[in-house]
Amino acid sequence: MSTPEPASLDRLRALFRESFDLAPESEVDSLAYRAVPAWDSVGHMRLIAALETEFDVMLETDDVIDLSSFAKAVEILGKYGIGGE
Amino acid sequence: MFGCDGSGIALLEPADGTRLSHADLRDSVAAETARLRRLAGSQPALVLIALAPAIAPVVAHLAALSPGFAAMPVAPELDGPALAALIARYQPELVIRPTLPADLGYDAVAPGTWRREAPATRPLHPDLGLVLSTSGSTGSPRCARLSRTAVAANARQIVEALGIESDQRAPTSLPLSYSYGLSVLHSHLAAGAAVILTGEGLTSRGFWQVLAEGEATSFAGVPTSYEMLRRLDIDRLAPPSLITLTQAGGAMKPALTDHFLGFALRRGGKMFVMYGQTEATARIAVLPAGALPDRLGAAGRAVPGGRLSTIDGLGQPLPPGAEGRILYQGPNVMMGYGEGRDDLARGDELSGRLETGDLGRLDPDGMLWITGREKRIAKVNGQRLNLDEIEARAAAFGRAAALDRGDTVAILLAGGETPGAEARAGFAQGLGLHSSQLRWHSIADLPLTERGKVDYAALAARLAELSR
Repeated sequence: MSTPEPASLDRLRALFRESFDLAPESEVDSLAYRAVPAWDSVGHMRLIAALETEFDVMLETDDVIDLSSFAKAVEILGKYGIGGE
Repeated sequence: MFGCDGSGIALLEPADGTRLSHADLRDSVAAETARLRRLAGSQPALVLIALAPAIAPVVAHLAALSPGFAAMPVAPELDGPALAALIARYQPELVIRPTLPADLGYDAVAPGTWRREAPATRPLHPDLGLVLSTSGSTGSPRCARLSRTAVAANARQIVEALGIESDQRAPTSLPLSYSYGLSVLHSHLAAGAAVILTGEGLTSRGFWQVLAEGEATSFAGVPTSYEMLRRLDIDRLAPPSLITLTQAGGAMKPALTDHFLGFALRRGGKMFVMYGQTEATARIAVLPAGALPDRLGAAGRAVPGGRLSTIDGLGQPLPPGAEGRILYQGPNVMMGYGEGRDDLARGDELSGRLETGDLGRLDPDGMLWITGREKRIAKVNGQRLNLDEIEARAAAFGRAAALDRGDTVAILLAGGETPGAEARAGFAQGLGLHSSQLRWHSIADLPLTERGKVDYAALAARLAELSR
């Protein structure tokens, strides 16, 4: 398992902001499911689609329903080898 | 309220392990009704309830459906200026909500219970039982005024049409402030069946854990729910007990219906496609499970005790097979619309006759096929959106036209630039949508018809080119 490198993390932050209609510089590292109104079911699937397009992966069902925070997203993407060396 | 004398479990709240039997629920509702009566005094009282999927607010809602009250369920998220405006318009005597801003003219009379200081301007009509917003999450002032008999009748109609038995258990997969979500609660209680109370969304692991713990047997969804479920893989997530699916809240792509019909059949269960409106409490038609896949795309037959027909522009009945305006007649039709407190004093204005605003045709055996809409209405997430209202709001950015694109709404702006991301997000939020559900396009000009009206057919063609 690897941890995404800073460049991937920045892409990830941008995707979170885009998916949940957040301001460009807003803090997202502590964001969790339903912490903002836009992160509901529809927002969640929008985020998943954005992640899959950006990182060219297909997430397993279990990972889709477990991706409940920014930190979890980092962990799950690491599992798919995104951002490793 | 629903004449249920069942003895099994009525409500489960897996979050804290609470289970309430139908007998316990009857006692709780009787006690809550007495409490509300003491607080409200002797006059009929409107009770606005932030209807979260939890036992206490559900009991308050059921108590407020008793004679002497009318219930007005709203989304627990409804807050701020939208909540204040709704309260100012409808002047509920009581508000059931954890918190309430201090400047609305309400006193805290018990934890989470607020009483209006000034008397309301008009009394409630004695038949009024339920006041439901016709556009869900936006807190739109327009509501359907439903009588207690209509609410009870529709619950029975749904029980009969779906064959709900006392051993069934449905989760709150849709908001209880939305007519479809509320109808799941009412119909299951009327059948002596159980409802699993959860606020989890279907994209979270918590939702599926709750379904497994509560041994859910059925799932209610709108087309958006099924789009999401398709990606999520229902076979993998749904507990073995879950075998019945219902779908309403707008037309779903036949391929998607077929996909979930396959799931239901593999498990020896059923898939029901349904059609309805808040103006008819919730349900108007149900497609019998056995009619699939032959009648894929049909909206179903009228619920028991209801009657569907098609009429022409002058209100004259049309023969079977002819396309026309869809008329529904039945005991579940609303008394009329309301836009504020004064309207709640009015009696029944429709006599059980609802012009749905939808266009379609009926087969000789009563099967309804919907082909379009009379009014400029879009349905996104099962929520009805008035396209003219969206246009009026978008006029802030330029000359605007709004078009229904199935699961999204397209907004075309003539001669201007589309608004920035932040403005788009705020605009979408004001409609209870995600910004991705509104597609903004900039075009040179709005095509007009010979009569000077916006030519929506030409716009749709232009949009098809833009999106190619």
